[in-house]
Amino acid sequence: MSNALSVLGLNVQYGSDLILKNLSFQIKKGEIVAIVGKSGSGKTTLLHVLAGLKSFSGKVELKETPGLVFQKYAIYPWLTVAQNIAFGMKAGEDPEQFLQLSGLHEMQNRYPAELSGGQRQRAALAMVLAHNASLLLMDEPYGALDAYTKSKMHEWLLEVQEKSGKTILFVTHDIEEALFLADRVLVLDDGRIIEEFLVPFKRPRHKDIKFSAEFGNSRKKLSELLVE
Amino acid sequence: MKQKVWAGAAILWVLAVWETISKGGIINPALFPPPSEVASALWQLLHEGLLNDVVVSVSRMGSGLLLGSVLGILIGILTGRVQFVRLTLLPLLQILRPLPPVAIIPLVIVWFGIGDSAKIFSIAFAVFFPVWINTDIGVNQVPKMYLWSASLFGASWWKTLRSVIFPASLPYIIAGIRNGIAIAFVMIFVSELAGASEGLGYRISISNLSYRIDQMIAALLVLAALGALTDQLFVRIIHRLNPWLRLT
Repeated sequence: MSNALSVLGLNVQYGSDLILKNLSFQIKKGEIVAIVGKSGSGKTTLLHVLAGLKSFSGKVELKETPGLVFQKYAIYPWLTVAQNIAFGMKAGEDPEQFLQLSGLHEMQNRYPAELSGGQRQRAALAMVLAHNASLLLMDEPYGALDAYTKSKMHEWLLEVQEKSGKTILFVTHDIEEALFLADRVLVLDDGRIIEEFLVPFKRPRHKDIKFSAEFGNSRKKLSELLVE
Repeated sequence: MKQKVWAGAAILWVLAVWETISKGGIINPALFPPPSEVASALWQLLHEGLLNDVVVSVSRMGSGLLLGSVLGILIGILTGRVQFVRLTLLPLLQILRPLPPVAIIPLVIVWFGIGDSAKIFSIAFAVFFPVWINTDIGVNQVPKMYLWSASLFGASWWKTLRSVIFPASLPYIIAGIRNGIAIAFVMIFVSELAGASEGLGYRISISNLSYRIDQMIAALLVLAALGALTDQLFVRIIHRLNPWLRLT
């Protein structure tokens, strides 16, 4: 499978601080990759660089159109769900299929304040998908959700990925989320990738894998890496 | 509903206390006539053309408010988003802003006379500053992620301004205009006192000259009611146009 993204010797500097240090990695088309790391390790900066929002030195080769889903401020409060989804679309395009995909057809005329956290995140992802993004960059997309909603959103995201074949790179603090969703987990520490962890589960996945011994072992390994 | 009943009861209670202390001679009724006399004076004023004064004052105020608000919003967006305009205009605006707006009225009379244009200019001048400063702050407070998002979606400069920056700043702009409405009422009153042949300020001034305190209080109550009504009308219109906004 060809690469959706190749990063080679990426450095990002703010003033005299080097935030990302000589990062190199590839992501294949259709792959789901998680980035985990402590606060301040450079996870969000990496997503912003890939989305074209920050300057950098090194080489970033994007073969797909990136779309960024923010944790907060993901959708515009003054637009209805349908208007938000249509925001990134060309004039005359119909947001209907993305309303269906996000399961928000019935709520298309509601404002974000009238939606639950999970519905807001679905609308945010639909907005990015409607813009024809094929590389989804997600910055702690489910960080503000309760455990039940988060679990539902995980299943929905895997379902969307299955149908659309999009490449996904997401940042999370939640090791369980990283293991359940991703094919690979990159552990970032102080601006460097210190580990590349291959998740030993094939897709499609069922939530029962979270209770397997292998999942427990993987979680333990990743936790240890983050604590060190 | 319960809130309205309480508000109505509070007004009735104040009127009853006012009537009692005024008629009971606790205070001089010539200086503080009871509400029954004020109501009768209001009736008389209505027959003497008070409605025309209200229409004149409201149209002057509406024009000044509109002009000051539009300019305040436009300049606020420019000073908030365009560095060159900010650097050029900010020192000038910051010098003019602390100027009490009523202080310009004598100069405005020299420039424009005592006609409608003088009143409209004075009101627009006074309204401009709170609207401008609020808009400027509002457009500077737009979360970066809203702008990043628009840029990632390929939104043009105009679309970003119209569909992101303006609505994101709207709570600030509305606060500025509501402040402007209150100031516009001060300005219409003062500028009509300073020289006019019709309007609520003129009516109060005439009542003062003829020592008709009941008529003065009646006209003042009409002015206060107009102020409250204008603010609530504005809030309702804004809410109708922008149902996502939470306004009180």
